[in-house]
Amino acid sequence: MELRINFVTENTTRKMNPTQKCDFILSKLRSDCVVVFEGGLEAEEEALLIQEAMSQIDHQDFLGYKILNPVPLRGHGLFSRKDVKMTVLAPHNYEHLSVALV
Amino acid sequence: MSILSRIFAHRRRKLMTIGILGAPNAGKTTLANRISNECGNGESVGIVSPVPHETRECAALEHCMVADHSGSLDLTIVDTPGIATSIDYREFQQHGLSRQDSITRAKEATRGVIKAIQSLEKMDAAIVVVDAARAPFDQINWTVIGNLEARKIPIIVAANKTDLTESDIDLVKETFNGDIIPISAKNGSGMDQLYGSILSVAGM
Repeated sequence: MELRINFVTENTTRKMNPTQKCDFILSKLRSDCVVVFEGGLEAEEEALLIQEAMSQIDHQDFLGYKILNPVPLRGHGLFSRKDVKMTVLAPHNYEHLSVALV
Repeated sequence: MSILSRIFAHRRRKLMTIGILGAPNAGKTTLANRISNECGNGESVGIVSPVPHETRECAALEHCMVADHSGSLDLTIVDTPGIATSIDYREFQQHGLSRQDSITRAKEATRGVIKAIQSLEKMDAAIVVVDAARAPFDQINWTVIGNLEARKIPIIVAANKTDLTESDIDLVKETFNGDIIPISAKNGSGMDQLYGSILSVAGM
């Protein structure tokens, strides 16, 4: 399987509104790209992305995505979004996205 | 309604809508049914099943009474569909559903996820249900908690399934900086602490 990773700098998406950002990410995911987002996504953007993805799932080619916000877990916990430096997103069928990236 | 709830029902009364949120199969509906049995009319809020996305619509149960010496809380409990970033119909086939039934269920599940996220707008507080028998650092928990925080909605984290031997409360505590309530929605343990926390969140 060919793996394509798209690194997206903060500059690339700075002028995008949340909907445009979600469309941008989903277009990458739908073309089987892993997306590494510098700066990470805001919580509201993640929620919007879930809703957009759900509306685009066709139960055939696109089944959604996997997401990982690599953060130092120990001593931080789930209430520390400020530590997010990047968000990694992968198509649902990509099996290897794991906390090993942390 | 419990005896305690009846005794204190005439005191200060406050209304609150509290959502039950989390990943699929965390035990949200089991918890909603437990609260209905202990504080409401005992009506089933939803069906509990090992098949993911059994709950595909938000279900509200009104007038669950939680009380203490200071007054009573008239709760509306909203049981929400499990939130996920992907829905694979083949997962339902693994649970014995036909291909067509699996696709139908998957379509309903995608709509359910959207409704669950939209329901955040209507909540005064939220119980995030975490499966203590699974790795707690779940991206769904992360997204849900982040969105609740962004909306300034008070959060109670319930580490469910403590009745299972594989549950690891210490790991859940570490993940959530200790701010969790261990419960078993199935057998009822930890529920008094959960009700206390709900009252506290309500400012009572």
